[in-house]
Amino acid sequence: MTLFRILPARALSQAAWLLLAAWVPALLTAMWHPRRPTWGPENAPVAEVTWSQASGGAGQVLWIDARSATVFAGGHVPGALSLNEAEWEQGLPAVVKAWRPGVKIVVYCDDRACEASQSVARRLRRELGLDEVSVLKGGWRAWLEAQHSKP
Amino acid sequence: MKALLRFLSALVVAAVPAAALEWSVQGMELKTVVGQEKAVAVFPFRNRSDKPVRIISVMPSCSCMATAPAKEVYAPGEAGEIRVEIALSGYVGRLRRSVAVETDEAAARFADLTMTLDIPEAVVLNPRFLFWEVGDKPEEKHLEIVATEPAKTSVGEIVSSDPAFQARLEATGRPGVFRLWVRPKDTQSRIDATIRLNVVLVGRPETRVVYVAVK
Repeated sequence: MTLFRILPARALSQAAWLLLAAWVPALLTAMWHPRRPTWGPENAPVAEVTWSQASGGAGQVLWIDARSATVFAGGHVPGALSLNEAEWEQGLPAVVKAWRPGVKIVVYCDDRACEASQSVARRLRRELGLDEVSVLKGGWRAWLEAQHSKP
Repeated sequence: MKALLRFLSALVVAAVPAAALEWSVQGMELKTVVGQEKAVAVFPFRNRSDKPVRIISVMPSCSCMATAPAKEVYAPGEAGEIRVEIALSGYVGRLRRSVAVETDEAAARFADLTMTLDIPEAVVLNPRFLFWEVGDKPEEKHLEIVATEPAKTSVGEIVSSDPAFQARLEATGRPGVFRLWVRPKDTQSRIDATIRLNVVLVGRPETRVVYVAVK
């Protein structure tokens, strides 16, 4: 039994028109919207990992705090290094010194809404040529919640 | 079908109350040039309601931005603007920044103003970190140096912070493109060093740092 026998041709035609009507503004948005996603490999989003994935996997993790130095001073993941774009050149030497082959870098900022961790992670991959860089899903807030939920 | 679509459209329009502050634009792309230290975005608005609107706060998404409304209360029909200054020093690539404007208007309390910036990097080091593992053969490795605007950029001397790493600069024949070759004397123990590259950008001397290490 074909689809045409189940659904009347008119319904299919209307569905096709609706799809077309949705596709046109979507295409225009993708081309001209000021907040359109960019598709170049440099701007591709860095993979996210959960707190348990980051801390539970094999190998060491180098935590990078992408928030401002002031916020970092108020509390951070133990052992994390501060590296944000406003103070990039000041923070980068410590990251390079601390990193070892095989160590995974996980970057975090405040929460899901903040974009600093993605920017810092992309820049680390690009500038240092390191592949094993990811972003902590949910950021500092997720880390705090994970600590509170520990038995 | 048409009647259903009209009904749904009317429902959506009726359900969303018009905001008192009407913004000319809420998102913009800002182009910057090599060496630019600050970008400015201006978001004009007008109070289209019949009541005064108070701007309670203007909250930028990062400490790199400075913004404040020219005044707090806007009378009906009055126009105003939110001016945002974004410090570019240290930033490169494509960035998104936003400002949340909070008003005392119950129907539409917050307005998000967004800016997307493309900040060109005057000198791209690809990558800016070379490393050898302990015990590796101490072979020469290289990175590429690309001046985004060769006419405005000149690459000068290179200085290694540690004689354990020897560095040399090689012209590729392509305008503004060089190779930096680095060789460690040995790879028997861990060592970190930097190689400073002196460049002149638009007449201004600057230094770029390359990290080298035996890990």
